[in-house]
This record gives sequence, structure tokens and C-alpha cells, in this order.
Amino acid sequence: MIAGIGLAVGVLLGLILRPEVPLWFQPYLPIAIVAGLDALFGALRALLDGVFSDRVFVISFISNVLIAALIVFVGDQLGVGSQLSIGVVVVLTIRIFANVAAIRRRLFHG
Amino acid sequence: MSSDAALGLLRSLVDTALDPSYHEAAQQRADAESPEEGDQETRHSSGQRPMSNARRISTAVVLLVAAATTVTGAIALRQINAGSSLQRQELRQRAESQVIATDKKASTVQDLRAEIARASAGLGSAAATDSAVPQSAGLVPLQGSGIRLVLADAATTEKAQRAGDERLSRVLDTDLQSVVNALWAAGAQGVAINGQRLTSLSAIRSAGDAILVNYRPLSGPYTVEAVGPQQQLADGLTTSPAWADLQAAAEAYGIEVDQQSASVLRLPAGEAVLRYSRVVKGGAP
Repeated sequence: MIAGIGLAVGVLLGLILRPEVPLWFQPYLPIAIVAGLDALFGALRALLDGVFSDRVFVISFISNVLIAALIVFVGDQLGVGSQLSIGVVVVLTIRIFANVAAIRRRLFHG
Repeated sequence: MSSDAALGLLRSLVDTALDPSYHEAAQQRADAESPEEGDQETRHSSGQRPMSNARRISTAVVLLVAAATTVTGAIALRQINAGSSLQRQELRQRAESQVIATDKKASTVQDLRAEIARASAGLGSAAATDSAVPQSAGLVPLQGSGIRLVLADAATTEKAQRAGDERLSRVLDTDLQSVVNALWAAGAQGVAINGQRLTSLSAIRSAGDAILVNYRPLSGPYTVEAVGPQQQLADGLTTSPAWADLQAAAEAYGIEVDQQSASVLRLPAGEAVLRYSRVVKGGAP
């Protein structure tokens, strides 16, 4: 209930305020979003497995996003930013696929 | 062997797809609830707890809503990006901020160079700071009277298209090169194009549609400012072959050329990174 209200308020705030992503962060935003999606699907799977923990979810979400952005940032500084982002995207995508597959098994064959 | 390693990597990725800390947290919770019987069985049974139908349906609904949100968001993003003017604007902003950063660094270089000059003057080693050398090398700002020449691309490309090459309606790097050379030959003490001071190491060349001066892209109209004896500069320029070429281009393709004398011109200092040469002691030639 509280989570639903929070979600609605967040969406409304986003629509009204239309926050702008600062220019320096724009190259890292897509990676951060993919990392956030990964954490989200992981949480959904944990929920279906019955082991969901809100603390673990919040920590894994924030650290995923930060680390993904940080890796790409460091890569940019070293001149291997695009290669590193490919690596990050591959790893995160494989995890997302595995989690979604588990979720699907849970929902339709459980 | 390497394929085994790769497989292992993939397997570990899939195995740890669910953050292991979820299970650890669940285990801890189970331990806290029943500290005596915290055996492996509880963990497994809680992991494989069968789901009620209502829960499955509600989860499916949540998933559907999430999917719908993602798809609408993606479509909205596509529509925003379709104009791509936003993206272009952002790219331009980024490029501009990079240029500003470069300018800042260049001014730092200027400051440091001035500091070095002061320091070495204090040592009495290089006395060239107030000699004619930095002046003619274009490394210090220059102020004085001279002439100003404005070259602009043709307003229409019709004539050039008729001649078969649209590029001819634009001011070319060779135009600027020959004009600048004519100005030097006529006795200019310093020349700048759109505020870019020419040094002995400056290059004027084209890259795509832009003209690079000091590796800085410039766009038209191009203002060439030359400090020197006005009459001599004007005469030297208008009698040079470069001027004849310019007039011909103006006639044939519509390039606009405007020359006037200016009583006060302020040319900024140029940058030149000397790799091998050094300023010698008492270095005026």
C-alpha cells in the first residue's frame, strides 16, 4: 500500500517536475538503468521464491546502479569506456534473462 | 579449455543471477525465528513454498503493469528522440562545453607561459619577452591599426551548382591561406582569423565543411584582421594574385568579400607549443 502510494507520487513528481539529467551524467544513464532493471528483476524473483528482503533489495539496487555507472566512468577515463560498457551490459543482460526465466517458470509451472 | 572457462563463467553468471544475499537474509530471518531448528530443511522449504492462485494472479497483474509502463515509456522516448533536434542540441552543448574547457586550458597555458617568462626574466636567462621575437611569432597580444577583411559564403549555391560543385559557393581554406599569405607579404605584423591569432605554427585547413585554424573549427563569415601599416596592407592585398582570385570567385560563385581599414584592432595572443626549439639568450634576431 505505502509502496504503491510512493510509486504513484514518484511518477507524478517526475511528470510534473520533469527533472533534467545533468549533461555529465548522460553517458552513464543507460548503463545505470540496465543495472536498476537487473536489481528489479532479481527482487521480483526473490519475491516469488519467498526470500525477498527489502533491505537487500534497496542495497543491491543502489550499489548495482552506482557500480555500473562507476565502471563505465572509470573506463571512459582510461579510454576503454565502450568496451567496459559492453561487458557490463552483457553480464547484466544475462542475469536479467536468467531471472526472467526463473520468474516465468515460477508463474506458469509453479 | 578456454571454452570450459567461458562455460563456467556463463554458468556462474546464471547461478548467481539472483543476488545470493537474498538467500542469506532469508536464512538469517529463519534462524532468528527458530534458533533451535534452523536446519537446512526450513531453508529449502521456504525457498520452494507453493504459491496460492490469488498470489500468482496478482503477481501476473503487477508484471503486466510493469511491462506496459516500460513499453509506453520506450515509445514516448522514441517519439522524443524522433525529432533528434534535442539530441543534436545536447551534442552541440557537449561540444561547446568541451571547447570552453579547451579555451580554459589554453588560457592556463598562457598564464603559465607568462609566469615562466617572468621567472626566467628574474633569472636573467631569457630576455626575449620584450624583444620582437614573441611579437612576430604571434605569442603576445597585439593592438594597432590595420585592415579588416570579411569573407562570407555565397548566399545561394545556384551559380556553383551550375558550375558543377556546390563547394565552390563556400569560402575555402585555400582562399583564407592565400589572403593571409598576401597580408604577410604586404607587411602585416600580426593576423587573426575570427579571433584565432596566427602564429608561425598555425595551419589553415579544411575538415569536412569547417575550416580549422589552430585546430579550432571556424564557421563563416570569416573575419581576417591584420595589424600593420594600413595603406601598405591595402595596396599589397589588392595587387596580390590572391585578391584577383577572390574577385574572380566573387564574380563567378557569389562569395562575398568586404575589405575596410580599422583604426583599432586587438589581436589576442596565439598559442604555439615549441617541441624542439628554445628561446636563446638575448634572442632578438
